[in-house]
Amino acid sequence: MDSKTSRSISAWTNGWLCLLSLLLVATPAKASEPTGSEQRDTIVVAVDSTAVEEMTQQLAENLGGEKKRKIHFINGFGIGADILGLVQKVGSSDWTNMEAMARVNILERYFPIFELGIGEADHEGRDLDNRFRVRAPYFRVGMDYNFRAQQADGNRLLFGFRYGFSTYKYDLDSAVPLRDPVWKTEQQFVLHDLSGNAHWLELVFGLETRLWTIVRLGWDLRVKFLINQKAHEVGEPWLIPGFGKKPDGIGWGGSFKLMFDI
Amino acid sequence: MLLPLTLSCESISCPLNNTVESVYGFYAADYAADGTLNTGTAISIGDTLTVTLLGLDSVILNRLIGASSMKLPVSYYEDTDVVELAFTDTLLQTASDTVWIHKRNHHHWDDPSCPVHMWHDVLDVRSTHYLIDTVLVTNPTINYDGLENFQIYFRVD
Repeated sequence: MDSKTSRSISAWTNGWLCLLSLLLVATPAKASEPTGSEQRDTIVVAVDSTAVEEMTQQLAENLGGEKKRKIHFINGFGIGADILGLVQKVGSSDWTNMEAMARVNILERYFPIFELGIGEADHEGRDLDNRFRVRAPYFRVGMDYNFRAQQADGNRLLFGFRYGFSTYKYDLDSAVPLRDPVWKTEQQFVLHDLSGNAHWLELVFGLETRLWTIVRLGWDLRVKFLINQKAHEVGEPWLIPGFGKKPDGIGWGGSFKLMFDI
Repeated sequence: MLLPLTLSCESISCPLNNTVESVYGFYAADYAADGTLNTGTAISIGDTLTVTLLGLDSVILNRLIGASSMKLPVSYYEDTDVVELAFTDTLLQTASDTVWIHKRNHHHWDDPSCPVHMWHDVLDVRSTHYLIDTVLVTNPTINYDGLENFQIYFRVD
């Protein structure tokens, strides 16, 4: 909360406290009138209990810095992009997944999401001249659940899943010919356009915060399970677009997202 | 903080046993009454076995005695490997058989940081029949897993 907002809430709260004090002092009595000899010269301060209750509730809400919002069934849409992939690309990493996403906000609780990206790699082997290249699109569909739907601060704690798919062609080659050690013959090792595809599932855990009006920033961590992969007989790809590198069929990943609520 | 974590995690798992060889098992040709071959009766060769591969000047396996199997290299780029098996008995009499292995060769790799290998798919096998009765292909993929690829059945009469 910035200092301007804090000052504004403080002023508003003080105003209500002042008004409440005035009411407590000045509101005329509506209690039952004493009769006969019981009548005294007493000043009775009467309070409109309903009005005070409303004001107290308002006061409590504002002391907490919150106001209840009206949440619609379709509460909005969001679009965004993964900054991490762009940073990897700019940072000359030998692989990256660059993706954009779109989602629907249902009741501030459910977020069906579609992610579309392009994964690419240009990787040379360590101490060898083997080279792997791929550049192919991928998509994921799934849903996030917001555990902080009741909170009005706009921050979200998300847990969700994705189904991902990619179909791709990859290249394997080497600058050095492959030599038969027994027959002493050799040939160049150049294999291009090897076809493959992969399906996988992801579990997603993430946090999001509202930076400014419609602008959101968030990150997530993902564990990925390869369901099925169809690879060329030569060998599996070093990287599956959208899934990443895959030790033993389980992968890890994450994203750092800039999103806009529209 | 996520970026260094993402970029620095890399593990390479190259297979330690990565010699591509064809594996032959030796068996006795035992036929049932109906003429079908009873498979799986392993034997050890009593004679001395010497193996040469056509196209190579040198002997690939020299004076093997008492073996029940053998491992041979496979050519990277030839369509057919020709294996000559010479059996020499104690009287120094030699009998030879030739085995032709027709195959398809393809590259195999595990990771860009691992050496590339040649794997082979056996398409067909045939042989002469001086001592060899039958050659069966039990595993048509020749790679570095060490599984038996061929069963050579010798005459026992």
